[in-house]
Amino acid sequence: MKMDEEKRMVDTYEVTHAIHVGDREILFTVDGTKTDCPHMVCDCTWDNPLGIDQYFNAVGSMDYLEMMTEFTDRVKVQIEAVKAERAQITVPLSPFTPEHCTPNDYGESIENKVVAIRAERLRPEYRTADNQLVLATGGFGTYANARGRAVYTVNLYSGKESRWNREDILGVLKPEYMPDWAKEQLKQILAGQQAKHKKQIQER
Amino acid sequence: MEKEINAGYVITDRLAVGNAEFVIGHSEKAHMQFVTWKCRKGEKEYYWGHYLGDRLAAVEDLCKRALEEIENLRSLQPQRDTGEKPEQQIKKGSGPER
Repeated sequence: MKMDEEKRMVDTYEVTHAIHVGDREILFTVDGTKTDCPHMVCDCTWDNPLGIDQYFNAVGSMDYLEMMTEFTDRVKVQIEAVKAERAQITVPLSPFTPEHCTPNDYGESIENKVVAIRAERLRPEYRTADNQLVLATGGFGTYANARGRAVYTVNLYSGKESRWNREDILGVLKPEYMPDWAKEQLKQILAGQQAKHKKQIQER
Repeated sequence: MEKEINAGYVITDRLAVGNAEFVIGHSEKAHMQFVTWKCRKGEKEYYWGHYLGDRLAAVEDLCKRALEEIENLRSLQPQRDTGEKPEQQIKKGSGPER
């Protein structure tokens, strides 16, 4: 279990072990008052618009060892899923470092610019180039001298939309370090955005 | 809660099985950034370190060690049950006679 967490509950069950691998967390929970089912294992994700905990795949048992086996088995399955995901990535994975970027200058707008996320802000298994390169599409944090922190982004590799804080941004990627795969993806994303924008105007 | 550090590694995850506990340590500066250790539950003396290069390998190793401990505890369980609940054992055995 992560060391800096307060007592965490799932319904009446206290989370005693939690391991985060890839896109989810596997939880081992205990409720000593439920004599027929004191141990429960479930999964947790935050892949929803509000980023709140979503628990699913819950199984319970009286047998601690049975549930601990279930827990470790699920973690292993998740490790294999992340490995398989990584194996499918066909672009160079070497992470972007400060030398590849113009430093994050709060006096400059980063709206509609390709920026790199700081590697240390990503989970260890995701500290790769494909997870770092994003197009900053909006949010108060994208503006120059902004009070806000939110930076809404589209990942150049996966197309997934996310929210970051301005301090998570390493800087604007220098054009000479823009990989070919990112240039292609950027064209597609910008074309998609323009089409969406046109459609919205026509609908008004 | 303050971060727990052992030999320069921040303890990030822990798994308790029986009286044993297994932990993952992480150090950005170390050549091998991750380690798994064993310790007695509730104690801070870590031993039998397995040093690894990435987090996935460390989590995999943590699970492997926990499963080995589970197997070890399971192998001890039938003997314990025999000693503590002799009547229940006999009842289970008498089921198929019907």
